[in-house]
Amino acid sequence: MHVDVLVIGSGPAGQQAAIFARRAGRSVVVVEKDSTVGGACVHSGTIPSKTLRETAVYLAGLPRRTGGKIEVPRDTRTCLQSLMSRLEQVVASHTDSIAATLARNNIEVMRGRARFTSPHSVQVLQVRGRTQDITADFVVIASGSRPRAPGNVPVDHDNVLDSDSLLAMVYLPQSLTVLGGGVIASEYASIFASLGVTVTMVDKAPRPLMFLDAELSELFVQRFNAYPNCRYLGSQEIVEVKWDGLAAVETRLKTGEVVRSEKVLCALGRVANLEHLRVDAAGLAANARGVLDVDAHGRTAVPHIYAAGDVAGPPSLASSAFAQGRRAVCHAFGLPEGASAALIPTGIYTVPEMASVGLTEVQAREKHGEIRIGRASFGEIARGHISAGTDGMLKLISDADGRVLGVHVLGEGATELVHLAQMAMVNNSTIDVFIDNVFNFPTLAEAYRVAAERIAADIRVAAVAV
Amino acid sequence: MDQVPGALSDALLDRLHSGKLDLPLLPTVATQILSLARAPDVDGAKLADVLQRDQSLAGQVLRLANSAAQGARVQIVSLQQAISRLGMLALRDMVVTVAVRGKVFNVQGYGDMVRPMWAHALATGYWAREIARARRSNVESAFLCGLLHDIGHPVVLQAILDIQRDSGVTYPRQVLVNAIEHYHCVVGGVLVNDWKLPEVVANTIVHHHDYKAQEHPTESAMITHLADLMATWMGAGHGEPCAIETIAASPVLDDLNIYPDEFQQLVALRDKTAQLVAEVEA
Repeated sequence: MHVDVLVIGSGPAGQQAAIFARRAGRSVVVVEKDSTVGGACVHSGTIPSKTLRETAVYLAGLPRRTGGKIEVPRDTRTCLQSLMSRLEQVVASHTDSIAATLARNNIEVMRGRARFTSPHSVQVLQVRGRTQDITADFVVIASGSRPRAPGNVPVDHDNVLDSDSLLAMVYLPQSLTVLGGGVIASEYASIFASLGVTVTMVDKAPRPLMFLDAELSELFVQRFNAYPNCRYLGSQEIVEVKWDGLAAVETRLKTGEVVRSEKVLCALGRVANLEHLRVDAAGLAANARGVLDVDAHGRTAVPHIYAAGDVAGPPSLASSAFAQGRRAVCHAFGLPEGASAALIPTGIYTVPEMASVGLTEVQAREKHGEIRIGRASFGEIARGHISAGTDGMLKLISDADGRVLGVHVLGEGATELVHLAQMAMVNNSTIDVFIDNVFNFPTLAEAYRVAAERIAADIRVAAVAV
Repeated sequence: MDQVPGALSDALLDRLHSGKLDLPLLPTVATQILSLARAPDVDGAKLADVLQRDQSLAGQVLRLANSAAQGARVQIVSLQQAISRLGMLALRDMVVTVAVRGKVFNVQGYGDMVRPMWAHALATGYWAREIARARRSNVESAFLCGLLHDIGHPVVLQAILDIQRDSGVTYPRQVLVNAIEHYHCVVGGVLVNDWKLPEVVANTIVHHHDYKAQEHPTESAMITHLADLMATWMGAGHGEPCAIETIAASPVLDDLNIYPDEFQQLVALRDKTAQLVAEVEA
């Protein structure tokens, strides 16, 4: 069998690569090792964790929104599965939708594990052991990733869990130690904390989510530490994690402290799914971080082979994977690749949620020297009071002339709010766009106007001083 | 269905639907432990107080806690020590294991039928745990689902014996076997609901034979289905052992997405699983 484009993996990157290849009039086959399409994003990552989060946010928000008149019992023996009862429907709807989209575009999905036999040929091992050979002019590797299990953390999916096995717990644990300070660690730590679980986050970094604007991640730590009995332990080295054989998992730190908890979540990064691919047969090798090196277009060292999504390394977001898959195929066929991937926003589904796009304060100072910052607390916004979410914050960063460089938001609706700044940046707008245009009232988007007016005032003061 | 006499089917269904089916009760203490294990802020002293009211159950739980099957590294010598160190879920699983053996897998005069059922239940529990682990899924509920997947077997058997006693009709043993096979899933589901075990357990019991009948087949039912086959292959329990080639050709491997190399890794766990079953059975 020969096709123009062979796509390995049907997650966000694979889907977009396949769809754009078909739209370019090319023949495409998608090889997917699982029985359903969608990848880890749908089955063990983004969709399941956000489904639980949605319930957690509503439970935590109910007493706040009702002024304490309605209390939600914080029963740590709550059946976790009951909090996720919609999950099967959510996942089924999403996979059905993806499968329908692929079918509508006449894209064949072949189930099996792919492995290269040469740079242009792949053998597909089906689950029953049969094989099929496929040759292709272009290959897009979008095989995704799985949780990493470091040698000193014995993940047994019973007491020490990873992000794949965490959500299959029957009951909420009474206590949970989360190893790691990245997106997955922070999201799960705050979700379980909001459900009343005693959570301890342990990471080598002084604060979690180091890639975020420092002000945002410090605020996150403040909010997280405010949950009863929850704490972030930064700048820590994990010496050993072991199940005591009976009742608890002990996480021994280099400082000598031992954190005991009913369960441990190991969220110390992810590894690319390359082990069955035999990329060496295609002339490729994983780099020191275990991912494939690619250029700005997603092309690997072998020109007709592209890598997209988690398998190509950070940022490992579903949103960026969509863009990477599309861009890879567009580049392969000489089509316009569209907007730069540099402006992909980051959405972090912690409780409260966070989002950012563009430069952080430190990056902006490095690149532009003089910058201006406008902050708006959700406590200044009518909608913040209405939704009892006054602890949110929006931080708008511009250059000295008011050109928008970045925005960082913590609080309800952050992952939606950030898109306004993204559009402003795509259009190279100044902060005036948030002052001169009328937004709905009452909405949290008003925070843009408040922050922009602060920058405008700053600019006026600077002009007078000159 | 035609292998089960209509009168027997009618009598069984009548008892089931009218709530007259004599469902075995867990020992009071076991029920309390199940309830307490879900309660917030329960402390070890309270659990110890409850558990020591049933010295027989407490003694067996202590023995089980000290068995190699539970991975205990230190000798547990007192009930208080066991309670404080077991953890809620491990304790719950042990109490259920001990209680169902004594209360459910115990039909007077039919030990030759029930003992293999118990061995099969244990083996399925341990296989389910390993399959869940291999699937990178949580193993917490897998054991319970496997252990209880055929709990309807002894309950249906007891119900038929009650019907025989009340009606004066004695059925051939093959009829008993057929009726047990036909009704055990639905009766098992009713039983664990009555015990207020997690929904996933009842759902798995009802669907483990025909998991595809669910609108969205659950992983738990698929895992239990495969564990059931593996236990049968191992020769644990009732019925003829099935060939490993039969399991290798089973659609459940497709549905669980277990590739040939992963299946071989599971097969290699046979001795370990047999040892675990033997330790608990002893």
